[in-house]
Amino acid sequence: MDEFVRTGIARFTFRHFPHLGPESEEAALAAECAADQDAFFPYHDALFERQAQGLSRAEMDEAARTVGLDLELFLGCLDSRTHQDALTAGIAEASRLGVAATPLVLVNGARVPLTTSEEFLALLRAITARSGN
Amino acid sequence: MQRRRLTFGALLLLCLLAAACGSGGDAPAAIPTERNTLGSAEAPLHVVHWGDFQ
Repeated sequence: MDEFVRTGIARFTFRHFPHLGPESEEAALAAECAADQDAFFPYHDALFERQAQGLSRAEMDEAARTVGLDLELFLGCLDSRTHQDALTAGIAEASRLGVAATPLVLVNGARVPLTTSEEFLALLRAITARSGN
Repeated sequence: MQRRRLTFGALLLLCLLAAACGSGGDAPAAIPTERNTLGSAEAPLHVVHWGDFQ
């Protein structure tokens, strides 16, 4: 996605749809706490790199350390579940829009069948070429 | 004297109302921003991705 974002062709928004258990929801809350420190995407990448180890609380805290977050702020935010209400509202909104599984991608409001990231990027290139950007 | 005081009060009230309404009308429109978004709001494509960290 970077090439499209960097060149001004695309804007990319990540929305949470944690549906695979309590660790999913905890990770989404942790990512929002990272977002409070303007580090949502670095934290997102750090969590995905640690997926193989599982999403334990220790891994979430370690990812925060790796990204260089203010740990006191991060832990306070996560322990108090600061973003719980917003997350719950976002999940309800996603369900209302028909989101039932992840990943789900919309481009300019149109649902895109997502198989692999390579195919998705190829699709974006095709859209871009067709629109003359 | 009483009439002059009433006129002054009415003018003051009108000025306060005008200031309250005027300041709102001239303010620049808020640009909606969404958390966890990369890229320019001017970009022709908006990709929204619902994901789960697991």
